[in-house]
Amino acid sequence: MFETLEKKLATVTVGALCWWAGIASAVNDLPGGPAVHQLNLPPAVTKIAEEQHALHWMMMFICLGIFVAVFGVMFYSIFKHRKSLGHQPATFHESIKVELAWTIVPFIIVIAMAIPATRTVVAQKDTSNADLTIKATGYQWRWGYEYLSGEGSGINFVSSLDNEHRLISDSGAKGVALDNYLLKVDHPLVVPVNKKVRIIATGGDVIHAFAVPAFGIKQDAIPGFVRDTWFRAEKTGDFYGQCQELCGKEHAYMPIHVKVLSQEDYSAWVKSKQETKTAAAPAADTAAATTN
Amino acid sequence: MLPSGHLMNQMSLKFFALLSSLLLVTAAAQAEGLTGDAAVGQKKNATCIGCHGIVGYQASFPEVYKVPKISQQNAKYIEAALKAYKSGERRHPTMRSVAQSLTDQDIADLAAYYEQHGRKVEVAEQAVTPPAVVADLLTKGGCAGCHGANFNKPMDPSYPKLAGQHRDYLYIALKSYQEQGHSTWGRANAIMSGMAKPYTRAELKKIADYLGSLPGELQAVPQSKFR
Repeated sequence: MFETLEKKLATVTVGALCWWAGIASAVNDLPGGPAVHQLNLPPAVTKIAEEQHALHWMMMFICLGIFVAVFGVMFYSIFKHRKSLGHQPATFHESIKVELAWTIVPFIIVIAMAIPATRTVVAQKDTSNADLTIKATGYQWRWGYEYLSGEGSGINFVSSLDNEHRLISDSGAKGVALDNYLLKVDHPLVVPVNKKVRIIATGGDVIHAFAVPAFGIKQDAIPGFVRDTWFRAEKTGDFYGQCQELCGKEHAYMPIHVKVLSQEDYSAWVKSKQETKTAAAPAADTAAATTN
Repeated sequence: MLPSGHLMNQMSLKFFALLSSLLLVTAAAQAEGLTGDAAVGQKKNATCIGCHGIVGYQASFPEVYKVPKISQQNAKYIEAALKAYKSGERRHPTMRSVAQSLTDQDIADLAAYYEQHGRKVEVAEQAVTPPAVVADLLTKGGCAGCHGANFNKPMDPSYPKLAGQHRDYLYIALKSYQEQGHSTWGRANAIMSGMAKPYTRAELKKIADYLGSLPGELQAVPQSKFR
């Protein structure tokens, strides 16, 4: 009796939430986030992500080529040179020619893949000359952002998952069709378009990882250490990621939402943020500033 | 002439303690405008459970110790602690991020929820006599004066119950009152700083071990597997 009541209550709540979100039934693609039946990598928004996609496809085709060649030769041999057709096996030992071939050919293939890949990896790690530096601290289970230098330096806030989404998840999320399900946060990370943004990642308690697939970035956030990565978003819009290092019970519930704004909009956001900061109790802010 | 340094220190300490308790009372009075709703608090505690709802869960950075048991703790104390984390008076990176994302209403709701969370434990009323070594230390600080009989019945709801709390947590908490100036730990509460400073670390350890060994109401209650 009690259980059915609880179930009914849950259904009503979920229904109400659906209505509240203004969604009829089907879930849609989320631009900058996951798409329905998505198979490929998310559309690239930075040069680095584009290069990663190119590398991904290049290696995919090389693998496919090797697969076809190896299995082609194998099946050709199995069918054309089988014992029932009267073929006799070769009986040689230690063929220098064969050994050289199977050493040199893979070596060339690996080098051919490594040269373009190294170029991208080096570019990924070049965090110099950033226009904006933001420290992203992973906490159990939310992200803290601190604007260290560049336009907006001094801004800091904590970004947590919307509690309504957390409750939907707890009740089983049956029949829920929210495009941004478990990706909605209270305060997204805001950055300007076409500016080099350096992210310094660290952890407040355990290891987390800051990742935004559309930007092609992923960096472990390790307590007691700082590691950095960077991106230059070429499109305005909302882009999403999640913590990518298992960090405890709520690991799935600490999304990353990056809002890329035009330069004017970003300046306006910085201004409004700094105004509310001076309006808010200054004591709390000085305490907050000295804490980190 | 001015009194001697030692006397002066003691006097200012007492004055400070009095002033802070007055401030505390005023703060409590202000907070009384908000009433916590335990049922609402239950809907906001997802990230609390991740540590405080796992029996024996250990915080790993900056120091390793068991996270405190908070079920059955006083609501007013939980509220005060969360607000202290929020303002930076208590320093702990994760707890600060948690408290920062909560409104005063959220804090009141969560505090109300955890005060009634867990099972009611009947703790014996008769006074427990501590071993002589610890008894001296406890009398010196006058600990029971605020934290109450058997450290389970605080004089004011904004003071914590201590009996049966994890001893490694109690030790770190006491140590934190002694030191300020670290970015990741330390507690600036005026009364407790004054209380903790005269002790050596070894003495604090003895106090923490004794308090942790007492029978108490505090619990870490895991989330039900069936929801």
